[in-house]
Amino acid sequence: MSSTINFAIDLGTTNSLIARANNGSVDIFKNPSGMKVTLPSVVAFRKDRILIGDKAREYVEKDPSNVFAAFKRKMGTGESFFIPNSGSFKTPIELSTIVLQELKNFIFTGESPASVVITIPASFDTIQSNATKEAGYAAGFREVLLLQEPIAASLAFANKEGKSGMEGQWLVYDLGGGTFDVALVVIQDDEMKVLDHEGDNFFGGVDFDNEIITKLFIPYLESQYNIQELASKMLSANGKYNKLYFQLLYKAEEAKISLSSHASVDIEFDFEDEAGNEHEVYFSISRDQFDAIIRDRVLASIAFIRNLLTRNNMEPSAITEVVLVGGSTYIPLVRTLLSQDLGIKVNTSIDPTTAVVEGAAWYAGGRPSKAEPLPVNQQPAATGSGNKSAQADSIEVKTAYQANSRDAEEYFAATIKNAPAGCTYRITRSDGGFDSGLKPVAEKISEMLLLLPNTLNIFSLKLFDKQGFPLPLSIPEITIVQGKFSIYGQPLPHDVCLEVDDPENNITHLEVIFERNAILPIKKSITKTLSRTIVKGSDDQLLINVLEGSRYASPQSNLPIGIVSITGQHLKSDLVKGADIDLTFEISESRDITVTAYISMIDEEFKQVFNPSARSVNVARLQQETDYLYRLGKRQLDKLLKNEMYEESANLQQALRELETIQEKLKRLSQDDVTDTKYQLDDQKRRLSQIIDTAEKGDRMLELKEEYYEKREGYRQMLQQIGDNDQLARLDKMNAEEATWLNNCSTQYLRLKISEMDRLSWNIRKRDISYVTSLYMYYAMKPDDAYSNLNEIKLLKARGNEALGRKNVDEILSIVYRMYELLIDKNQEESIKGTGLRG
Amino acid sequence: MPQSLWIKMANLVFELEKKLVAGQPSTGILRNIDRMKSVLEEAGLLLLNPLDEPYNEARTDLEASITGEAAGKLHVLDVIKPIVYTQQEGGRSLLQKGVVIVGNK
Repeated sequence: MSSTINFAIDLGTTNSLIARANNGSVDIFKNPSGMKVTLPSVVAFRKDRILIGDKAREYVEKDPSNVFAAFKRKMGTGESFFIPNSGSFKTPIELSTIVLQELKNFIFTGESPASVVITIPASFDTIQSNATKEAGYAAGFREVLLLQEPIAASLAFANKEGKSGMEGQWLVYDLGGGTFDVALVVIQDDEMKVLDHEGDNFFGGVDFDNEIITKLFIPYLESQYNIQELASKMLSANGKYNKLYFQLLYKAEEAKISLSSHASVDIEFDFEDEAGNEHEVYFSISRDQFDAIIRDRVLASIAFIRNLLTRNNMEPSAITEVVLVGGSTYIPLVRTLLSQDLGIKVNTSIDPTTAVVEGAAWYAGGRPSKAEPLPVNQQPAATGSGNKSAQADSIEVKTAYQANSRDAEEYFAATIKNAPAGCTYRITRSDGGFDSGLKPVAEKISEMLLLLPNTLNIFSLKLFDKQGFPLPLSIPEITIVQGKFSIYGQPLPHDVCLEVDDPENNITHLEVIFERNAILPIKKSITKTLSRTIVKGSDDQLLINVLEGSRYASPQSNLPIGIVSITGQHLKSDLVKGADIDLTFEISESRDITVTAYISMIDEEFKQVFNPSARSVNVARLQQETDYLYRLGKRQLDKLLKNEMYEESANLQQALRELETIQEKLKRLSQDDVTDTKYQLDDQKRRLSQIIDTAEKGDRMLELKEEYYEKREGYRQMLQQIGDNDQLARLDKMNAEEATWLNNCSTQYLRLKISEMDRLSWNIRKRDISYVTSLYMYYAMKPDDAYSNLNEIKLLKARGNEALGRKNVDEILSIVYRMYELLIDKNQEESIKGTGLRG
Repeated sequence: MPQSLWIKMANLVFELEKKLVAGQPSTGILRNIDRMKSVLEEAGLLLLNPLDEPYNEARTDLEASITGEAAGKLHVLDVIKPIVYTQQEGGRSLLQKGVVIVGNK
């Protein structure tokens, strides 16, 4: 059990919040649905369910007899509210209890606090205060301490600024969404006290929103579009412009918020005039305009303060400062008028929306908890023991639903046996987008569950006893897959990849588009850039080569399943290196592959559909691949022969002979050959590619793996030196994934991983002035004739020497990059002509 | 980039698309919108436009203003802000509720 209370609740008229003191800091809990810290203090008794908070507030105007807000004002009165939907009555205490219980659901840590501090308005008398305590006890707290809201807010400020900032007398000016309060607070004999207070229950930020509508939007629209009595048409439920009212209310609130930090704001909305013509309205509001329309209301609030001071025989000069509470105090005019009109310093050091709960949590963090542990037979259900647990053990829940769905919602049913009378249940979706609200438990229950598209939807079903405490049942999660993962879909047997260039190594490699076991149909869009210029009218071609097979293998050994070739002959203008190309890949359930390429610089689209029965082989590409494989195999063979490894070379020699035959046949094959020859040759090429790959792998793989390990550890050391723990954790994760590819990948793939390590290391090294200087020196020491442009290289060296003096890393690097570009022999290895797509 | 800026960008992309759909935009412009959405998706944001979808009180993904008599089945008549989900390690979570006007069709 915690030794201090820690938990605090701001049970507000309009909104409520819950927070926890946590070893010198305060955590304000968020609503798991929507992640806001505030819960509107509204309860709605809809036909078959109870809604609390945001959803309940939506029905305040539409269903006023069943929806209850601002019931805090009725605390301590004998009043009860009749609920037509249930035919029962609820007291303000019971409604407050529901809000308090809902706030407990915000506590994501799973704690069930026994003690809590609840804030109350300074105006609450003893009966109202006791009523609040009663609500707290009914909500399951065994110890409830009350704290006046102005005191709580003052504590939040005092904690921020130190007690010295709060000496003497000060005002707490609390202007919320719908209510206004001002309190005069003083420290007397080391005790913080509310001396007096004033308030207006019907004044708040929402009034400012309405002023924007009635004084700015409506006159403008009426005069601009010749409309009569727009206000009444907007406010009437059946009026033509009722929808517009809600649009404008939202826009007005946005404008108000924006004007707190900007001198003017532009509002846009669509408007249909009386004749049915659509208009796009652009409306600018300056802060001066806004100030002019709200000035009277703000001055009225200051008049309250003057009354308060006069009543207490005080001059404004007797007040140290005004502390601001409530979201509406962000408005600059409120702050300005308070400071100018009263001449009192305005304290804005804390978030006014959470000040009360924050201060209350500070208070709770310093108060010892006196709640005794309950006897076992009275412990709440959540603790998992006692009567309630025994009660829960006898409850049987059986659920039924479709685990896969293609619909936007899915029917869920359950049978619940032996549930105690008065129980409720609630179904929520884990992402926060669905909440059934509290519904009465019956032997058979059902609900339409709203599904988020194309994903796994996880719902939880919880049961609550009559008092609203969760019953300790272990009901399995309800998991429904919507859309693409339907059981009707077929999984892809292999990865589907795109062949892209690796210009650094002058090779191509595979980039996965769809992973193996992805469910069809499937679609993906990516944007690539061109790795070289394709000149209009030339025979050069941009290849979009889609292959099936392992992503770790070499492109040449995978099965081509779709290739789009865009040659210079097809082009209306040159395609410049670096231009973007949008690629969309779609595979239907029947495995048709649609490749769409859109090149924005020439505004042209190329689309091709490939189907599994008609394989597509591009003869020109096949020639390039065969030539590349031959060169690669030849180099490997020479190595083997040099080392007198005759036995090992036999297979390779045979493969090279076969490749020569393919090369010969391809020379005689026309680009548009209609026979099966090209498919046969492609099959042969893929088989030979595997032989060459294996021969090369045996030799190169070890070398490349060593290089990879060396670079990875080098990178780790660099990270350790600079103490970058985040990147170290990422590197550990990459290490853990190595096992999935290291022993079955192609040399191309391993080269790609080596490049990745180089890139990561480079990101660190390029900030190191001594490394960058040595790099520059390496290129500067090369003779001028090693570069392609003598004049430029001389100029670069001169500039570089000056840059070294300035020790400007970026400047030196820009020179190094250019020098590298001008270098004639970049020690290029065996290469294959690229696809034209940068990887 | 902070997530709040990504959400602002998502809202602007949504507004732009909404305006364009009302007119007859070139396919090039719509492509750019799609690309922006792809970028947002890469940044982990999923944008949903609930226009014309049925509305009920269990939809905590929407912040609704109810217009008209609101009897019978309700639908989303106008979307001021889209629904935004984020993909995190533990799964999706609601980042921004859709701000909508609902009523009878």
